[in-house]
Amino acid sequence: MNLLQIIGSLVAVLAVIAAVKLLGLGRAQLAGPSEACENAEAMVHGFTATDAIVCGEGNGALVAGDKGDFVVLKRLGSYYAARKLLPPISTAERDDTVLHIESGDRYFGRVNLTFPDAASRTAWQQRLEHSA
Amino acid sequence: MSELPNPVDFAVPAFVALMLVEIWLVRRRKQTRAYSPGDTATSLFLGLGSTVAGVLSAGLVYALATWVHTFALFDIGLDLRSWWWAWILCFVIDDLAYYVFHRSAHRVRWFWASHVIHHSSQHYNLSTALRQTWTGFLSIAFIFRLPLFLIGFPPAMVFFVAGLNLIYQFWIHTEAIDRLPRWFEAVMNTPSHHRVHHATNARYLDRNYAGVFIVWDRMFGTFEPETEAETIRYGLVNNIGSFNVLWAAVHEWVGIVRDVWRAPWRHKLNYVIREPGWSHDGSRDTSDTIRAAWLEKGKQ
Repeated sequence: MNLLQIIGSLVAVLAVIAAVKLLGLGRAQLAGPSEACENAEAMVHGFTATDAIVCGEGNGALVAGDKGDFVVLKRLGSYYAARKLLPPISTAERDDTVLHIESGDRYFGRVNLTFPDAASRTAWQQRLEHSA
Repeated sequence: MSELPNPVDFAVPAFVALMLVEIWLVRRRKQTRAYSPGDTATSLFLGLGSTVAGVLSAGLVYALATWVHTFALFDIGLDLRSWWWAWILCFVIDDLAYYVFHRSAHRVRWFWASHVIHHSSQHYNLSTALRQTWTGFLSIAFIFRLPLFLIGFPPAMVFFVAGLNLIYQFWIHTEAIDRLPRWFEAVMNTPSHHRVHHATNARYLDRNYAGVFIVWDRMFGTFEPETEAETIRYGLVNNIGSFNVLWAAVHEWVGIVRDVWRAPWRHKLNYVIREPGWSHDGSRDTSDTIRAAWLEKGKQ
């Protein structure tokens, strides 16, 4: 492989990425709490969901489990990645409806969830802070 | 180095063209989840990096292959007219060697640390095929091909057929093709068989390791057919949750170092040679424990 081939490959890579972007591919939105629960159970082995709240127009969700445990979902491309939150769960409210949650995994990062309203944000934050 | 060209170099324009066709097709079919810009960028930059890493280590691997070939049992030539049967035999045995490598890559964490990159996307499309390792040389995966040189297949022949094997595996990374004729599905690796391999559903874990011929999986008991009853989830049992290219390339190596560092002395080696997910206190899940739990749940 010579320099010309590397430059050619780089141009091709950028062209493919541009095509994906221009055609508007890669959109996803959680339809509701049941889809969030289904995702969490499928991705975190041994987790049984009880209820969930979908945040940020379907970009993420917080799912509660039957053992008082929690899973956070964040959108990654067209799908969702999950992390089980280990207590003590670190949270911080940015404003009335937005909550920062530390996933405990540096590369998964902090998840910012936009709740439908201040009351639901407060309620879920309290549940997280008192998690088992 | 090799007196034959690398066939993959000639296939790259076709790879790009086929990706563009698949992108157009999924857009037309309104399968908007099939591709996403971040995932595609990660896959393609990992592919580009893998090519560069391969070039850097190629000389050393070729020198090693040539040295091992000096101990060959048979004297096999390269000329296609005289040795056409050896080319075919080499392709088939190389595919068997690929099966053994690939199975080990899923069952031994040291090899998995390199191979995990290829499985780190939650999407499944032609760009996923190019999501290749940067650390293949470090994982010493080339040892699986050494028996071919000892038999007597010339290194140039082996590396050429290995390139053809890699090219074959490109087109099976797609959801755009459903099932192929029964005779073809019986013998060859296909998009349907390989979707199973990339799935994280319990029933599909550690199945369908084949490169070109699915017959190896049928022979060695690792075959699982795709079923319409279950939606496939792609990726890893514990998805990395990031499009960071460097992290995708090295995260499992970092995990090995962390685990070996923290483990009691008598368990340190097991974090390198046991199956991915193994832990000395049983606190983590392996594909075997996940499958066992799934089977148990099915009985209830």
